[in-house]
Amino acid sequence: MQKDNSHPLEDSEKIVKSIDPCTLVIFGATGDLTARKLIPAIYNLGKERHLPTNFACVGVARREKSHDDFRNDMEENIDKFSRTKPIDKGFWSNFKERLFYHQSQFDSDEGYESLKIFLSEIDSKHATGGNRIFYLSVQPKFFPLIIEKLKKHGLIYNPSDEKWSRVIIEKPFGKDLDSAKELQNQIQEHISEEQTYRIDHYLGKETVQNILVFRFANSIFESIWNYKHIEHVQITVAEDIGVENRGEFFEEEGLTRDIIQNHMMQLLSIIAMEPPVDLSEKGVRDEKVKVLQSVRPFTEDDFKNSVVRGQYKGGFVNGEKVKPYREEDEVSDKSNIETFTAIRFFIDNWRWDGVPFYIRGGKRLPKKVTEIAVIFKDSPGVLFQHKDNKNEPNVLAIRIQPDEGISMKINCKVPGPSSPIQPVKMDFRYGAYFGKAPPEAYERLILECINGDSTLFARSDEVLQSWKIFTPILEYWEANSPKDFPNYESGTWGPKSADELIKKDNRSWRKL
Amino acid sequence: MISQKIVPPAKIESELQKIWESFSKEDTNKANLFTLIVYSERNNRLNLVRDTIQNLIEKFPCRIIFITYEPESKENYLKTAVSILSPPGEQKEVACDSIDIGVGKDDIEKVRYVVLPLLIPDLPVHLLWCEDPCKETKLLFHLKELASKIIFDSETSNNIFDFSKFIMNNFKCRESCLVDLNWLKTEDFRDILSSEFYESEKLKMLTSATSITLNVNQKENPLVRNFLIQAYYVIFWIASRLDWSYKEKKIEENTHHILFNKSSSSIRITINIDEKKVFNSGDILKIQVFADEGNEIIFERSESQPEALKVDSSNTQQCYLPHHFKFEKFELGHFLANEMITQPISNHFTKTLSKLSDVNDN
Repeated sequence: MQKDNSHPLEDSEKIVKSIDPCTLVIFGATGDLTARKLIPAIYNLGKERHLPTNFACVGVARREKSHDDFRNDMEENIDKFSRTKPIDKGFWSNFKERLFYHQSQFDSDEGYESLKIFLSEIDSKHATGGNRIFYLSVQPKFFPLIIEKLKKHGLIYNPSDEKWSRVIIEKPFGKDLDSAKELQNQIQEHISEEQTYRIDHYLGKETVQNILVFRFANSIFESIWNYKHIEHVQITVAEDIGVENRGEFFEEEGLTRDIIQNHMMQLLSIIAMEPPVDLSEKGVRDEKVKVLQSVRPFTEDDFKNSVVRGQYKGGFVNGEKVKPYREEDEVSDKSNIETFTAIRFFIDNWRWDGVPFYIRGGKRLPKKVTEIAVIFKDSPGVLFQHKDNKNEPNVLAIRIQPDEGISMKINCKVPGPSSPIQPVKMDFRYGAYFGKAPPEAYERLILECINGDSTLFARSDEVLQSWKIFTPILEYWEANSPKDFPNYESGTWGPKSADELIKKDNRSWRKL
Repeated sequence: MISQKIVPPAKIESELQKIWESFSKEDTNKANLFTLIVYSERNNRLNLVRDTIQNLIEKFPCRIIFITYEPESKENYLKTAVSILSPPGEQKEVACDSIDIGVGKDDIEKVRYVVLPLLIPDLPVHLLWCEDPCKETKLLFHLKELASKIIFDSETSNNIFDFSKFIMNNFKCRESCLVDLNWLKTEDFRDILSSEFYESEKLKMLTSATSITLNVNQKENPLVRNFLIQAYYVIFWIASRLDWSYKEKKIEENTHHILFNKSSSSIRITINIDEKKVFNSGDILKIQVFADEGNEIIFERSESQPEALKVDSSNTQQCYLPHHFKFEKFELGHFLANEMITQPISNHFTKTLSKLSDVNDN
């Protein structure tokens, strides 16, 4: 039943409390994502009273397991991976009764039939109302198959039905523009766009959502958020870890597909978008798509001068010796897959005319940090600028993780009779005000899906538009093998060519 | 907590500053999201209030201005002290200002002048009034002008009906920013009722109900005198939402009866008193809703599983499988923090108060 705002007992202001009852069905229930993220997220949502009172969760996977086995495994995982520890035994003893396991092969018709019967039983026992979310935490090759079977066995309703069904799909959504289009077509045969929730967990991060609040709820920034005042923008997603146990996956994907095409483009869209007409899913996503549509297409010359790829050698990270990418497990010793990407974009619209957006992302960099930095133009040099000594530009840095917060670099007079100018930082740290454990991105996203709000999920045209930008780059790389791989030492900020990319514009990467 | 330092009112800010400077080498962040003014008399509820505050800053650190009043003091006095509060635990990553104002007898007049310069500029001010608002109104009326949200504790009032009348008469213009601690305690029940009667068929059953019976816990607790408040809140909340109008109220032995008029009929509410050790005094233990054609829904908490609420529904034709809701561990400070920071303004509370103020309990 959809929300009826005229319900007399419902407090229309407390939108979270009276959300529809539902069952969350996780395909790939024995996988890493379920253990590390999904179940801890559901547990925390329940503990903090955000879930509907009539809620159940069913894990589906190929392995044999009893409900109790599944519950015990999940208890261990919560204890290990939840942001709130230790597990609240009192809450868990009750909550686990709403967790179930269903064994099935993803291609087995009998499995889907028995799942249907099982879900009906849960509906009557737990008053979950027949509403369902299917979370596909499986390899992308299974997406079309599972969706087709769900539809075939009546587990997915028509969008016009009173009961609802929604499908959450994990990334990657395709490998390039063609494959993304094909996947989209296969999915669309069985479910509508409104029923499809393409998850990009970056959008669930509090700090990413705060960018919208920061930009559009503070009048002082929006008036200077344009080419007249902003010199350039830098977006960094750095990881100190290598590919860990994802060697096989990484050999297929590479860093650009793994984080640049999705996460970083989401950050770029949000930082560059126009104010939406409203905060509805359409309002926000329309504006994000417009940014991607305005990205200047890359030419042959840009492939050489505005795009850099890298692959890590051995080196030292956090004081530990680490091996080169080509010696990682399940990685070819001749691999040409990139573990670092830096790109200079231009957004050809009125607001961003001539403002470069530099983005860089990589593995085995010196530290884990995700940051968006807006570098402002210099003040007129008539007063406080000395010969050979320019003032530092103002920088607004939005730290997405870790140490989430916002800082503003301003110039300040050093106390004393002379007047040297020193840059100082005004710092806002999330943790200082709102505690150290903000909700995990998956918590917010699962909750939004239960609420039927897809604002924080990627829309198909958004995904396709992003592939439109990156497919030519990937094709160029495919056709032109790198000559210098591996080209950066682990524990450094990437290859020299990345520094040169920005240096030739008389700029430099921020020292993070 | 850093031990209190008694300082004259004029030195409160500078002494706080000194304490913070002594922290400069530690990784402790000063975090004051808002100013919370707390008012309580020096009585046996004071520790309860302090625990609630400690509980609150775990969630949202804020500058606390704690006013403790001793009306029966032999002499006038006003003493101020400062300290730094931090959530429990070894790591003091976040801490906040705490300012204590102890005041006796007529010096209460001075308090508002002491408070005024201590509010953090630009950030919200909330007022937690832990005494009967009808008793000391002068300071309350001054402070209410500063507050974005006013939280009362109806437990300190003589009865909920007088409390409601007083609030509705004196705070009507501020109705969107009022709340009561007892109201917060009924949040779980209100949410569950709202969820259970969400579907139109179920709602129809509630609107056509002929009687509702509540069982309320009463046990020896010097801090809880008005153990019926939560039950009244739930009943009058339903009445306000479904447009029932109050007709009469009477007490027979240990049972309270309330009669409401509905559009074409009436509904009788009965409140029975129980005593169960595992529950707090005032907790609602059971709600039974009876309607025509044998329709019946029972919400019940049991001693063996106090955090669970079982719902049984049946009619003359069939009996449905019971289902359960979960009650959360009630941490008043956390509820309070949510109310101040995350809850949007809702008119359900004041509509309920308005309904309660129709009752003449003399």
